[in-house]
Formats: sequence, C-alpha cells, structure tokens
Amino acid sequence: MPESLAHGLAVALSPPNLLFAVVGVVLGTVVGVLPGIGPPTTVALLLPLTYGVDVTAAVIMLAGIFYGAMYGGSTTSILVNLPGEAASVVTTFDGYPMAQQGRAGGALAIAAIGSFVAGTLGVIGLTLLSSPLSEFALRFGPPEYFGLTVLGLTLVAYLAAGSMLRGLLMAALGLWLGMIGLDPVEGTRRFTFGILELSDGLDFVPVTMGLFGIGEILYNLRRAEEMPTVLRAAIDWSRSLREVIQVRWAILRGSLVGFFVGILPGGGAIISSLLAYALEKRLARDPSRFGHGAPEGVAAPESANNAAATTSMIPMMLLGVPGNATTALILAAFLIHGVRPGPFLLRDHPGVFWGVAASMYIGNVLLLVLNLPLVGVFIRLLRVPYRYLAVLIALLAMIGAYSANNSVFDIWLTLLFGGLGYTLRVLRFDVGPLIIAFVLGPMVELSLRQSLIMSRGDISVLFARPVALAFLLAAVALLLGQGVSSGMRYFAGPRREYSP
Amino acid sequence: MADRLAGLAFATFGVLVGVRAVGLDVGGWRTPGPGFFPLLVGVATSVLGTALAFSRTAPSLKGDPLNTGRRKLLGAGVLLEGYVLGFDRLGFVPVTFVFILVWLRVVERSSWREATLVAAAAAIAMYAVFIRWLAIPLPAGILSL
Repeated sequence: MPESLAHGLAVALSPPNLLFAVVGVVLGTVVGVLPGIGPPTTVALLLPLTYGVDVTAAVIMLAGIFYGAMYGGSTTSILVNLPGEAASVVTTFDGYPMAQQGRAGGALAIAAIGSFVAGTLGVIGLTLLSSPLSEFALRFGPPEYFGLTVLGLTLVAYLAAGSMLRGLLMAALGLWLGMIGLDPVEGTRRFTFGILELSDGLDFVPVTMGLFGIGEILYNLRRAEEMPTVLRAAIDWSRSLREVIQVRWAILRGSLVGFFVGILPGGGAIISSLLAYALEKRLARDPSRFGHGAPEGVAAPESANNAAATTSMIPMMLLGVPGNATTALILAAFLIHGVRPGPFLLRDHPGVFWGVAASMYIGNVLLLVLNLPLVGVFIRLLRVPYRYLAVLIALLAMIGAYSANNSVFDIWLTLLFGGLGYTLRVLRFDVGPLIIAFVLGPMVELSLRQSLIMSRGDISVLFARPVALAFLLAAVALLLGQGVSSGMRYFAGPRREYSP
Repeated sequence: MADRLAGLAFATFGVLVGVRAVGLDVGGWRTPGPGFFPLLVGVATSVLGTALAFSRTAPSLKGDPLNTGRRKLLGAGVLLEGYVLGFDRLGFVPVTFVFILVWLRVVERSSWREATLVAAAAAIAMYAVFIRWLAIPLPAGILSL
C-alpha cells in the first residue's frame, strides 16, 4: 500500500494533474460560495469539458469541485446566512449568530480547519479501507448487487430532503427513466414512443443538465431579487485558533459521523451534517447554546460534510455504486472515459485510483491554503448579480448537452428535463433520489434478472446469501421504521414545522 | 391539494407504466422478460402515488408559487425554445448573443446598454473557450464562426 500511495502521489503531483486539482478546488470553492449553484450542477456543467482529457485528470478536477464546494459553502452560510450549497444549511444555525456577535473570523477558521481535519481523515480511511473493501466487493454476485442497490435506493429515499414517501416516488421515477431505450437482456425497445433517438436510452448529460442546470435556474428566477449583503471578514488569528482548539472533539466526532455516513450508498454531506449537529447538541452540557453561536454547532456539521464528501467516493469507486448525485456524476465521468468503477478498478486501473486518492490529500492542503487567506476575495464574487449567472448557466447547460452527441435533440431533452426539474422543486420534491435511481436503475434490473436466471426462477437466491440478505433486511427495516412513524403521524394529525 | 394532485398523477403514471409493461412481455420468474421490471416499478409507483395523495402532511405549497414570477418564467421558457430553434440555423455565436441580450433585457429588465455589453462579452468569451480552445464542433451558422 505505501508503494501504491507513493505511485499515486507521483501521478497526482504531475504538473497536469496538479493543475486540474487546483482548478477543481478553486472552482469548487467558488461554487460553494455562490448561492444557487451546487456541486452537482457544477460537476454536471463541467463534465463535457473533461471529454478531451485523461480520465485521472478529469476525476481529480471533478472530485476537487465536490469537496471544494463543501469548504466554500460554509463562507456565505456564516457571513450572510445564505448557504452556498445544500450541505451548508446546518452551518447557518450557529455560524451566522457567531458572525453577528463579531466572531465571524472564528467561525470561518473553525469551518476551514475542521474541514481540513475531516477531509484528511476521510482520505486516510479511503487509503486504508480500499484494499479490504475491494476484496470484499469481489465476492459480490448478482444477488449481492441487487441487495446493495436496493439498499442504496432505499437509503437515498430515506435520507432525501422532505418525506421518505416523496423520496421513494422520485426514485421510482428515476428507475423508469433508466428503463427508456433497449432492454439490457433481450434488446427490446421500451418506452421510446417511436422516437429513434431514444433507442439508445436517455443520455446522462441532458438529464442532469436539465434537472440541475435549467431546472435550478427556472426555480431561482423566483428569488433572484434576494441578494446577500456583503460583510467584511477580518480574522483575529489568536482568538480563532483558541476557539478551534476548544472544539477539537466536536471536529473529531463530526469527522467520524461524516466518514461512516458518507461511505454508505445514500449517505451524504447534508445528512451527515444534520446527524453530527444533533449529536453535539445532545452531548453538550448546555444545549441551549446551540442556535445562538455555539462553536460546536459550526465545527460538527462542517467536519461531517467534508468527511462525507471524501468517503462517499469509496462506494462509487470500489463498488460502482454512487452515494449521492455528485458522485453519480463523477461515476459518469469514469464511464465516459471507458473506465468502469467497481471491484476491478484497483486491479485494472491502480494508477487512476491511487492518483485520485493522493490528489485528495493534496486537495485538502490546497483548500486550507485557499480558504484562510482568500475568504475576502471569494466574498466579492457575491457581488456578481445573479441575473448574469442565471443566463450563463442556462447556456452552459445547453452547450454541454449538445456537445455530448452533437445533437440538437439532446438540447430539447435538456429543456424538457429543465421543466420537470422546475416543477419538482416547486412541489418540494428532491431531485437527488431521481438522478441516483436513474444511474442505479439499470444495475438493479440487470442484477435482479441475472439472479433469477442463474437460480432458474428461485427467488430465494436473493435472501439465501448472507450479505445480500443483510442488505435487503436493512432496506426493509428502513421502510418499516419510516412506515410506522408515518402511520403514527397520520393518526396524530398534520406535522408541525421543526425549528432547530 | 397539491400533494393530492401530485400523488394522483404519480398513481396514474404508475398504472400507465404497468399497462405498457404487460404489453412488453413480462415473462416469468425463471426468465423475466422486458416487461418484468417495468411492471414492478409501475405497481410501486401506483402504490406510492396513492399513499402520497392520501397522506396527511403540512401544506407543500405556500400561496400559489406557480403564479410567482410567471412573466419571468414565460419569458425564459420562450427564449430557451427560441435558442434551440435558432441554434442550428443561425449558428452558435449569433444566437448566443441574442439569447443573452434578450434574456437580460426582457426577463431581468436590465438596461439596453448593460444587456448589450454583457451579451457581447459573454458571446466572445464563449466563442474563445468552446470553439477556439476546446474545439467543440458547434454550428457555424450565418457568420461561419
């Protein structure tokens, strides 16, 4: 392993890959700072730009955007109570009150250093667990993959914003979209509506460009008038470092929560930050401080979401199962370059895997260097009126969709999915489960049918193998648990709003 | 009300998917056919949609957000479709310029000066990045760029 990591460092430190890492973390931090644009949207928009580069460089850049956005999102959450991306929502609970009390520097330092520690621990975990996880994954057959992907779909729906019922509906819609085109076993056309271009199925790029790019633009047109007020962000280093040391255990606990939640398919930065915050509040001697400027309320969620961003790469790279929308897009980048993530990635493309892992070490250092001195610079980007950003994002989405296959039909698809994305957002459906189910759906179907074919129709094959059974039982437990609590709420009456 | 309508829409969609799946040949447990998985998904969608239609949750919409920003949305929708229609015929650069200009002027109510300057700068920048640097084969159109 030390030799592999050394090789990976050599790959990651090569000038082109280092440049892509820098570009990725800078873009990711900028994306995280800018409201209305999240990591999935940025990765989706920049995906076509990676067509002409090496797969390692492409994934290094896109991964850099992902965890860079976790860093950047905390800045606007703290300074102007406007989360730059979804995973930074929890940071606003205590980060903004800290800024209002004149402790913005401390909050930003806690977020930056906590994210650095968490991200580094996450990469260490990625390095240490990669081989045992890969060996374990090689024992996976169709029944295990079916169980795993079903659990992934269930977890994504369970942890999605809003109710699990809505999450499951989005997952079902995503599964249907993944079935459009030719049947994977017999080659029969399904749901193509007589349109020849749909015979190959829906291309990933127009779907994501539409749902995340156009859909988000149309939705944000309703709140483009709300512009943040820019604050100064000077840092008192000695006081800030004292606060960081005070919350060191919150950083470690948040990192562990994020590490384990992020590694599960369906776990993610948003959920891990919520869980970490709830844990710190429960452990605190005086929970009433939370929501009024408690430093632990910044340290825990920021550490968690960064650790989760890093470890969510593990199931995607080693099992081929993306845990969230952004890693689903990064998986698409692998596939576009002809590299299939999964158990054989380490064996067949060790340079790719170790290069990406090593670049994440480097990326964490780059992010710390960027975020601390350059906060003031990034804040100025908030002065760019959203009306400029909106039209440029719309253009990038359409150009990106066209460039996938040089097809105007794909642009029409993008607009169609843009309308769908807008409608779903208005109806408060989270599109995350939809896109993950769209990616996982073909795997679910193929593994199910392969399992039934190899067992000659004996469905017990899905439950007879212990790992497959464990995954399915976990999925059932989640569904039952949610079903019980939903039933109790149904009989209790309409749900009240939760305020942290 | 919105949840009820959305749930019924999903339930209906699920039924349609299931009906189509049956027409595709569901096969059996030994040899599941092309309609097997769609049938499962269709049934699941119908059940979930029905559950949503009759679930008792807090209102998902405040007021009537579909009315909010209707002018902007309509303008944006028309412009997006116009962009695609003109993309092949007129070419990437001129259509991009016009798109940004009209979007800023009509949707965002910017001044003519601001809209023209931003549109020109963005169109030039995109030409430089996508056509010259990345060599993406975008339509040359009437200006042969």
